[in-house]
Amino acid sequence: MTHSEREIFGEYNIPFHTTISEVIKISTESDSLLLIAPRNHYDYYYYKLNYYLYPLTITNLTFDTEKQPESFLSELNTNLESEEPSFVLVINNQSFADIIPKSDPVFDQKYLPKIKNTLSDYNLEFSHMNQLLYVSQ
Amino acid sequence: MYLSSLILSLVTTTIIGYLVFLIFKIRLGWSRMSKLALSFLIGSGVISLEMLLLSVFNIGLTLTNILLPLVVLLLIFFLLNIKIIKPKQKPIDSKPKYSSNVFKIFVVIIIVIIAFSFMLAYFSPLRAWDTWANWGFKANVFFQEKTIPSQFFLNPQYSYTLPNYPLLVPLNQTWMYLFIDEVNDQAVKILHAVYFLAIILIFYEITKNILGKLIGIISTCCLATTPALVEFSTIGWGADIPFASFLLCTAIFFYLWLESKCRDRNYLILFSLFAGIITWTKDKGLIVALVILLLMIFNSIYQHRKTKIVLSQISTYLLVAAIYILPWRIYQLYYSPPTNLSITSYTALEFNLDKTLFILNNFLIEMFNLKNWGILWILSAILFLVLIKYITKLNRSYVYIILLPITLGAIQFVNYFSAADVNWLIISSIERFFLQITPLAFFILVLSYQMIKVNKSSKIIEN
Repeated sequence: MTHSEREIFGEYNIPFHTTISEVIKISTESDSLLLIAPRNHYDYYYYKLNYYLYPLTITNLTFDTEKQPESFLSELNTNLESEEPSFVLVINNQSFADIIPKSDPVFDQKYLPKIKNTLSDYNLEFSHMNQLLYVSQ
Repeated sequence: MYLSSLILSLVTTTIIGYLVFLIFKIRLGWSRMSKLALSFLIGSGVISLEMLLLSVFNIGLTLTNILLPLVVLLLIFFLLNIKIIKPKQKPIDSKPKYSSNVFKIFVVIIIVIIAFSFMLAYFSPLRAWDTWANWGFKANVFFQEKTIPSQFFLNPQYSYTLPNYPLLVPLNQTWMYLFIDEVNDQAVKILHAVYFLAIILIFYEITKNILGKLIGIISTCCLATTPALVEFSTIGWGADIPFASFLLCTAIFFYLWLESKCRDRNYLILFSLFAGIITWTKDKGLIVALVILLLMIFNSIYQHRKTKIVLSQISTYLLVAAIYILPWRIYQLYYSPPTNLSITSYTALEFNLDKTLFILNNFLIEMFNLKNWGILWILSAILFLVLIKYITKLNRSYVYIILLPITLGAIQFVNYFSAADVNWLIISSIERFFLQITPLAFFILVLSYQMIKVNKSSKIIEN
């Protein structure tokens, strides 16, 4: 990857981008990546990761905290089974492309514990990178 | 070293464009700078097309592979034509050199703006979503793969990259990556600043030839200070600035050809070439190419011109334009989803008629948005009102040129009716539509001014 340093300098969404160089380092050793992001602006992160991690296969799952997590978890299970991602990235930023990002507390309460449980079933340990990003290791 | 490689890629593009001038033996009485600007535009079309063809034939996209055929072509050309090419004698300028202080002030303003545009393009961070999600991503992939991967456009993972968009801009960026030997999406933003510079040089040349140096430099300054044009030349967004430059050139050479009573072969080849390249920049370019063809046919019928000559000219136009139109369209048949040129259904039109006022309103609001377009559309409105007086005496070539932006505007307008989310579409595309036609609109302003001048002086003579 030739981009990571410039990426840190080059964009507004600082917390996401200061971390993405770390993400790139880990994910370049992966075969495939699963991105979990908010439904209303997942595409920003999805396109961005595709750009920087090409030709890595990236699939994405979106969540909507106004809904119950059950259907999301079912999709997550299906994805983990079929795609077998070696790396999972969760982004919980409700303030798209703003200088000050904002995590969604509903996600932390309702979704995150269940996602962690599901991932551990597939031997994907979860760690907390900052208030917005969680990655499997 | 890094910056010099970047500059070398632009210089090579210009040299390749100049090669086309030599091959077609195009003679223009234009200044060296504007010829270089034209060469850059033509070169960007030639290189990107060659890169597409190399990929189709499974030849890797490396500098050697791209440059070798062009060098061979150049050598063959020189061997065959060495006696024919004679440097054209520069016409002796009988007029005194114009060097008033007013003129110099305008030159300085333009230079400052161009320098500002280059600096901002080179040093500022990436700002536009499309820059990397669509155009930049493709350039990145083509560079890494050293080809246009045939399955790339059909891969659902990349369906958001607008796979049916023509590839001139991404391939131009890949070409620059090959020189600097790495992906640097920020550095290639300079490409749009070069297109901007080309627009300014070509526009000055044509306005100077029509209205003289002083009015030429004033109108060029007005164009160069149009805020949206300057801004878009620095953010490296999409294909709008390249599209604007090709549209301007198509219109200029088509106009000059009409004014030469359809006799000048140089102009015929040039507008055919640009009408071809514009289709390779954006799908919308096909409309421009089609309008030009229809105007050629209409003009021939109107003037009762000899069928043999007309057919030969139309064949030349189609042949030259087809060099650019066909390869991408054929490629799309196999490797790409269908083109996004949608024809709005009558039912959709009927269903969406209540949007008319909303769309018109937004069109007008954007048109007279001084922050984006400066005085362009206000001046246009004033000149339009003045020209109504001379409606029966308007030059036919002028009317034909006006039809180009009108048709593009009409198509844009009709497209809104089929959109599911018209609000989003309008916000995202009206500004870019105006950007695409801005240099052409300024060219039409210059022609309008000339028309008023001519009509006024003939009125004085009549009196």
